[in-house]
Amino acid sequence: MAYAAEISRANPTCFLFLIDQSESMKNNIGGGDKPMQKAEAVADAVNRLLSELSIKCAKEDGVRDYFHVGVIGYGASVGPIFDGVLAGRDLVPLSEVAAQPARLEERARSYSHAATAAPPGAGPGRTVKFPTWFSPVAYGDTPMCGAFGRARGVLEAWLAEHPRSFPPIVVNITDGESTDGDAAPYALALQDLTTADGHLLLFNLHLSSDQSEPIIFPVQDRYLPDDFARKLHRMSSVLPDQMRAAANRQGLMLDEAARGFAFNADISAIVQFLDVGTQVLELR
Amino acid sequence: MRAVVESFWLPRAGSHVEEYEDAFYPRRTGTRSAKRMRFAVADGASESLLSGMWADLLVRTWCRAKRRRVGEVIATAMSGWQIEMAAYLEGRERHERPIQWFEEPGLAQGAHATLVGLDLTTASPTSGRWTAVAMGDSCVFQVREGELLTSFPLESAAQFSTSPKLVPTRPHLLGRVLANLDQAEGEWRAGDVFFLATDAIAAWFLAGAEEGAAPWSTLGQFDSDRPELFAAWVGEQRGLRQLRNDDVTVVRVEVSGR
Repeated sequence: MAYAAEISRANPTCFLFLIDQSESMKNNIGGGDKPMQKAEAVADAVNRLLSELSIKCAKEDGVRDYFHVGVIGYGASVGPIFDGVLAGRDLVPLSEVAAQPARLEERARSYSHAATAAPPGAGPGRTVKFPTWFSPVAYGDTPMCGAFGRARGVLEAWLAEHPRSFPPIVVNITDGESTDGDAAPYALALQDLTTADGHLLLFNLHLSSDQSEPIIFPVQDRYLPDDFARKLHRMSSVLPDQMRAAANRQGLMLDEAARGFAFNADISAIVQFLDVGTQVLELR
Repeated sequence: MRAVVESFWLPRAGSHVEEYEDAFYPRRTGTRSAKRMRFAVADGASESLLSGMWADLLVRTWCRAKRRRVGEVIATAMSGWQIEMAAYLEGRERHERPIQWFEEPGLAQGAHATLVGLDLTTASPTSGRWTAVAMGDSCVFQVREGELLTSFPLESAAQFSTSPKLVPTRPHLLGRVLANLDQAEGEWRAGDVFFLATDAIAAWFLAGAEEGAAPWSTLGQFDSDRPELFAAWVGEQRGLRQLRNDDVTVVRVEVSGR
């Protein structure tokens, strides 16, 4: 059975984020309560996801390396975008990621995720620590083919060392069309990478200044607002049964052919769809 | 009543003994006799911090407070947790290992564990009542003359998931815990065997019973003095994917009347 490999320290999986850093990422994202640049929204979401992943895998003896994580930016150039001590590295074990954020900011609590549930007695004005590993950038073109190619190189090397792992998950976040050619063949080549447990999973998040309703994990592309969104949808992997089941347990109602694609939505929930043990859902 | 108690446990493959997050009580095996006996197993949730410590506190509190009802037991454990946490934090400070940013939310959220507790009382020299309390997917099975008589709180292998009901450490959740708790009772007779088991092995047990096998016979052959036999069997079952790779814990109680 595919996508059934245990995710453990001996058998980790990996998350690789590809982030569009093109000029147009300066524009505001559609929808939402307050105006926010797309570049800023993405940096926020991915930094938060890295933070939640670290918290999810934290035990009293440290953060367990169930995941290796990388963030590749594509804009004026293509390459890893970690700041600070991790600068220049493609894939980093999660314990090192957790130990080395570039900055640790104090932010007012603004979202009600359970991972930041208030400790007993905490007042409403409490702050939370918000680690960041990279900053928003919006400058240059959209070399998406280059980004997929770079991801393939990085992951080929990783797969040689982890041939039996749960397949790597690549999350591409973009707002526009590739400027260095048709990205579809590069996306396919990336999805061709496999472990004994299945093909690599490519998820795409399309950010737009369009005010259309957010859409998450759709089966069909007919409700998507433009051709580019439809193209990204076609380039997205179908969610494996186990992830879909986990998503449905958490209240989504996904069909069998639901794809790992979202339009102007928060996809940080995918972290919760991966089974690394008993989840604390009840009573938290 | 007299009871012969055996226990077997093992951390998940790839983990060290100190990473074992199940718990069971009593720790002492062998023959015991009393008018009232309690047993428990618990399983600390892998997504919370210090959950093994919480699982251990729950089983100890349930078994040692023999006359207390489950509500009092959990309330006592929750109070005890505040003291254990204070000691833990003090220890971290003393050893100059400050709490890291990624630990803060987990520590604020508290620990979580499943629990199943069994309480046996005597009515006659060869029989009595049992009551059981459970939160989550740690189970108790009652076997009589080679038949599975009771399976509590889960009754089929298909009911296991990665998000069982859990007992949290935070005292303000006590009311919700009690509303969610499962309770059952029944009668025991001399010769009955009870198994208390955490989820991986409980799921294996029920799957076997559903297929017409006698998992109680398999678990009946191990004894606490030869843990290597149990470890070898668990390794084999994990290799065959019959048993999910998780911490495993079984407490076997054979009641024999006076």
